[in-house]
Amino acid sequence: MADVSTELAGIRFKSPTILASGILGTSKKVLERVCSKGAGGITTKSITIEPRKGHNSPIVVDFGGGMLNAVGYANPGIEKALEEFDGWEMENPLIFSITAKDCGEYEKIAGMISKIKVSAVEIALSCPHTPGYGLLAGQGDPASTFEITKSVKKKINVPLIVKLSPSVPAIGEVAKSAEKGGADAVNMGNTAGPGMVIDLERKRPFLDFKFGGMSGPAVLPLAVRCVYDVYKAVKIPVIGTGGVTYGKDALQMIMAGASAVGIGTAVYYRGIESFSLIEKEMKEWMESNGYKKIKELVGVAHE
Amino acid sequence: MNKQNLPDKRYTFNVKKVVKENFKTSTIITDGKLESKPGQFVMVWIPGINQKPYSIGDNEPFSITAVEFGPFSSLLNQMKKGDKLTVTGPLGRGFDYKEVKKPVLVGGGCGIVPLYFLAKKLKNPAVIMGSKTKNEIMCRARFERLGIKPVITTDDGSEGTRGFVTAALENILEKKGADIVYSCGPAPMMRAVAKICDKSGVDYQLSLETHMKCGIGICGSCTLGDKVVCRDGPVFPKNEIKKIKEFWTG
Ligand SMILES: Cc1cc2nc3c(=O)[nH]c(=O)nc-3n(C[C@H](O)[C@H](O)[C@H](O)COP(=O)(O)O)c2cc1C
Ligand code: FES
Repeated sequence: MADVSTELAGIRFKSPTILASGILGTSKKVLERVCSKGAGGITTKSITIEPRKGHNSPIVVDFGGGMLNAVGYANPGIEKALEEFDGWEMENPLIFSITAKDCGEYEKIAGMISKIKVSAVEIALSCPHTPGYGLLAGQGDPASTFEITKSVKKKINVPLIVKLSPSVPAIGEVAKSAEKGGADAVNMGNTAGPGMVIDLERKRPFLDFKFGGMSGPAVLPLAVRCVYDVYKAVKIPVIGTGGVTYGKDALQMIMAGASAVGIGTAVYYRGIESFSLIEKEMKEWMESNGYKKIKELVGVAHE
Repeated sequence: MNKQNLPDKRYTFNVKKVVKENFKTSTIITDGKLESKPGQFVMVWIPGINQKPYSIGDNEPFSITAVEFGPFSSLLNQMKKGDKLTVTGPLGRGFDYKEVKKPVLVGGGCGIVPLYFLAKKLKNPAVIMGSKTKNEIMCRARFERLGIKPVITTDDGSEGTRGFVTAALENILEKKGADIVYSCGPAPMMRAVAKICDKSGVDYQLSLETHMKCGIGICGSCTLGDKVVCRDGPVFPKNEIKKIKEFWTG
């Protein structure tokens, strides 16, 4: 059998399939179930200091080639979230995702995470649809990325993953800033866009927030290109996220330079079974093409 | 979780008729058909306001029933002939009613809505509907048109038997027996129904209700224990209900 286990910033994953942030990510029991169904690791919903209700529905829409979402960081807030995820016993790594409005808030929330056992912290500098956060707060440019990464890094004692947006220019420069700021890995990346869907019958944008981040199959080529650029720009490992639905999509990410893949919208198309299905499809391809380990394939597209 | 439940389509229906069920409840009957199963639901969208889950009350013509709780359901109650109703669905897993011989349907409040759609698919089901008072009874005429005479219970005895649906259920199980009980309604009621069925060794399926924001198994707002109610359910069979600790502890 081909070995698909992988390592990233010193963290071991039995499977390279990691649940992306914001998909079913607020309940420990559901995340345990996702692990038992084959996910190599999981990422929590991005947690803010205070609880957030998020945007009104519709918060998601299937537009044919993928999905738009404008959830608006609905989450229980850091205190409740720490209670919820305390005592994680699965061997599958738990990545704790946080987001905040500025460096000060990032530091405060990052400092609280050490109360519980997590494998890594991820910071989302890249949400395209929540006022005051991510791209809408200018967190995606190289200077802010460097500052925020540095602030969070000094507050935590586990590896730091910085999640970037595929919708900014010169992504390599942003990734370099994250690396310089002390990031141990880059997650490339968040949803793209934002985009909009207009309902013809009602002649209105369908999402209540009007626009939302694009995910799913439609963004795969964009995400693969970004992973390719980031791999070239930095030495730290990359998680490839965006549109991975089948094993062959994950393999494209790996060849572009990803050491693991994030999986979100596939859960909508293929259910929680996505993780084991994608892993199986990867193994089948590797076996019929004579590859024994994922490592042999990471970044081969650059050769 | 199967692919055929994925909503790659949204439907906009024209409202053909609005039936006043009681002082705070309306059934919105449309001019169209929605290919769906009893127990499945739709997300109803009111542009600029919100989108919320509603049980499918009937598939042909497609209809939903809304009890007025807040601003959203109040707007649905104000709908009139010619208005538009936009839904995404059908969503979720419905009731399984293959080879059922002696079914009992137990609905509390608006939980009776999906059970009417189910009753249409069954032969001679026994139906129990519970509400707080006479004024809040709904959908009764519809069952009667199917030739079913529902057992009515009210908390205050203003109509039918005074008390909860549980006494009526115990009575039916004792006198006529049943091979399965289908129930939808407030959680405390369904817990009581499940306990009675467990005691009498009768199978059951329950339609659970949690807060749903996406309806498609992505956002995580509807979870109960390790279940994603909008996608794994909303209907759960006995063997799964048994394992949801959070259902029993409320
Ligand atoms: C409904 C939904 C909610 C999301 N919430 C978050 C979030 O809270 N934090 C975050 O970093 N990314 C969030 N994302 C982005 C995903 O983690 C992922 O980066 C993106 O969807 C692309 O991957 P995919 O095509 O596999 O879904 C969300 C995506 C979706 C669809
Ligand atoms: S309502 Fe979003 S996962 Fe169920």
